[in-house]
Amino acid sequence: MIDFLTYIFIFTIPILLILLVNLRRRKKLRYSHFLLKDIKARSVKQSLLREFQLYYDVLFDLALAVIISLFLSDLIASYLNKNAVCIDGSYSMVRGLEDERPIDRAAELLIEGDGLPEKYDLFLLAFDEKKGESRLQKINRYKKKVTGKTLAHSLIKNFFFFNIDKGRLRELKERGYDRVVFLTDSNLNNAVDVDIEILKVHPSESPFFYPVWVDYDYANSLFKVTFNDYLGSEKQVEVARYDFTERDFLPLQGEDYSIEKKKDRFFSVYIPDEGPYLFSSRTMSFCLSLKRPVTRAKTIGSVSRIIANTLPNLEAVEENPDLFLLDKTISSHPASPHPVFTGTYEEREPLSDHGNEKLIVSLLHEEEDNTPYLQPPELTLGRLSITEIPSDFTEVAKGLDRAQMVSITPSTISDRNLPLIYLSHTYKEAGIYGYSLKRKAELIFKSKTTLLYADKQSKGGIIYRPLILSPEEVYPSMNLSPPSLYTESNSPKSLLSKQRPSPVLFSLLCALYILKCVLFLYFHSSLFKARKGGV
Amino acid sequence: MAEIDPECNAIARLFSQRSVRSQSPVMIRSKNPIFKKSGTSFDLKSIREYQLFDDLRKIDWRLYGRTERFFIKEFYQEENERIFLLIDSSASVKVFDLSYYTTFIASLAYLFLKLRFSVSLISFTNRLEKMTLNLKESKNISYVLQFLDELHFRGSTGIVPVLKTVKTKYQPGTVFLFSDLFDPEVKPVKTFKNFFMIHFFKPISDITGDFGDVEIEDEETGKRILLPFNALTRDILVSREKEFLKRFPEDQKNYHYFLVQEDFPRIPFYWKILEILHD
Repeated sequence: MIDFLTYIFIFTIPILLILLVNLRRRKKLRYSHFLLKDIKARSVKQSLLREFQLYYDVLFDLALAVIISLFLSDLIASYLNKNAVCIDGSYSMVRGLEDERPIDRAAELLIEGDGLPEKYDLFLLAFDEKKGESRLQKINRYKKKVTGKTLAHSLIKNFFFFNIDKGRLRELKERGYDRVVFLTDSNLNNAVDVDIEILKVHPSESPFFYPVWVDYDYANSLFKVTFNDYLGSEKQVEVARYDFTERDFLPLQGEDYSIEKKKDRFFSVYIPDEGPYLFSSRTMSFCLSLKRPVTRAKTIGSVSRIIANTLPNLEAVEENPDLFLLDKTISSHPASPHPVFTGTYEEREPLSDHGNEKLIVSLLHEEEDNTPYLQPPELTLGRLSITEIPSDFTEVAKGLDRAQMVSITPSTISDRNLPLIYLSHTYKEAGIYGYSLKRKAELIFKSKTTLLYADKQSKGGIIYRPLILSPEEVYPSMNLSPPSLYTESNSPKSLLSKQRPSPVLFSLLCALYILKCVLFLYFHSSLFKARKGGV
Repeated sequence: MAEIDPECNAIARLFSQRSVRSQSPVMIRSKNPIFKKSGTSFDLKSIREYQLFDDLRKIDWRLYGRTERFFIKEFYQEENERIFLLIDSSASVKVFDLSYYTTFIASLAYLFLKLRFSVSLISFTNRLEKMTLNLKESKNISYVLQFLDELHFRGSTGIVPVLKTVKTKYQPGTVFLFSDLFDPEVKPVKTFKNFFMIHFFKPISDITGDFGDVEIEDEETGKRILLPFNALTRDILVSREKEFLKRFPEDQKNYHYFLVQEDFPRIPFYWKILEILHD
């Protein structure tokens, strides 16, 4: 409202000046009112018409000023359009010292209302412990908090700030919110494909670590848990293993695990045994259930049997397999009339300098185009995976260009540089046309990787929480260069963008101006004949 | 300041030189012989010899006794009416050029005095304001000028009651009414033997100029009205002015109407007035 009043004040000044000049320049005559007496003894309608003729230009100018002011101040949008303000519920918002956390700054921003719509629904995008997924939660009741401190305190107390799927911001648009402002300390990095305004608060500068990746090194039989490190937090990390007899986490000794500092802001913890582990620092703890990823596979064909026996992550079973391994020569399974797929590979090649490994993903499909495809990390819950190529993602696959075709032959199987074979989907699912990518990703997630969960326990036991990683966390952890679209500057800035003038507004302004011109012509042109008693 | 048109002297002189045989106006008191008709007054007009068509009763027997010839004595007709100039001095008249207005009246009065009419001037608003009666000589034109210069244009116009008062009080025969006629009740008057309605009229569009908003003050009432003077308003006012002017028809018996506007030719008008009076 203050913005509107400011704009209308600014726009009214020239209009009033013009009116004042016109009043000063108005001719003053002396003439008998004898011929004007019926104008004086006019009806209300005639009186209004005469006043309109006198001041119609001012009225139109004021109307234009009001409309433009309403638009610039977003007053109409705040009353007519549905606006939403969403708070980032990721862990980074609550880390740091009290009163210096991003959530404190975001709460202050909410109380002050700077850069926010006049009216809005308040949401929190946070991890829902019960449902095990990120969820938008309407928290309008928290708008009644009078101070930022109480608001931030209430949010931290009642919600779980852990890790979120920012892509769910799209749901706000789908719910019909015209303007969505996301209060966050990080970037969206194209996590959503709809128009979201970002109001960025300064990120915390306190030490911070965060689990981003869990992998199993089959060569050394070690779990490799990679954390995002910030300001040297790896020095503060302590590891504890859950003891089922003691029913508690017991700290591991230094020789039972090792920490390796990596490039950028990552460090890895190497642990040899399976089981629930607690990784804690002074600010945050994470509980990870590490389980050696073994996939139960039913083999059909001699080559497939060799693969299953050779690869450490495969276990040959006869019943209830997680997936089927088929030889290339077998076009279909006896149980299914439809030919499905042959197999997919991830080839590991040593790098020259640092001895790190590079994953090369390839897909072999005998019926369709054998173009390899690397699925975007955000669709695979942070893991690289392979899949068939949906037509929509063909360009993505070509753009990444990290694939290599490998034929299934005894020679390739004997190649020791081919330690991993992941199958994208089971036989049954492969027979279904139109499966969803997410389902496949979940399948891989459940069959191969460890489950992540926080160090919170409810009455029902441990609550599992799958960890969803952001691309900028995944790519460095894989020692890959993130694509340019993920390398956005992290400098604090407001990405608020003003609304563009809508066609409706433009049409309204044009219509008013044209009407004003028509009235001018009507009043001043002799082409229009006067109506009797029209003054 | 009132002045007299310089042509008035010439007009009076030329009109005086018209043939004495032409018929003099009836009922007009004037010492100029051309406007006098033979009658029964004691004002001797001429003595001439008896003609066959003369009435025997008009023979002056005293002259016959002294000269033994028949002579006829002719006398001017007895006259008792005067020219009244009724001058509207209401505030609405100020819309005109007042010097034009007073010069117009002064010139006409001068002509009448020069031609030896008896002239009375009466200014009025909605009542009689000021008067100067029975001026008879051209040398009295100074009184006329002084009268006009001392006019104060104020008050509202009320023509009908003024005419009634004048008729009742002075019973004039010939009346000249100088006014803008902004009186809703005014209409052609035929109760006088000769009534000249000199209508001073200035269209409102002549003073508003170009289009624009105008604030019009009525000095008679002191009220003001704000008018959007555009084509629409102008057309409406023009139509109303036409309706207003239609209320005053052209010349009729004993009634003469003259519309005086800015470019009105005064000299022909003077002559025409004299012609009408003479006929």
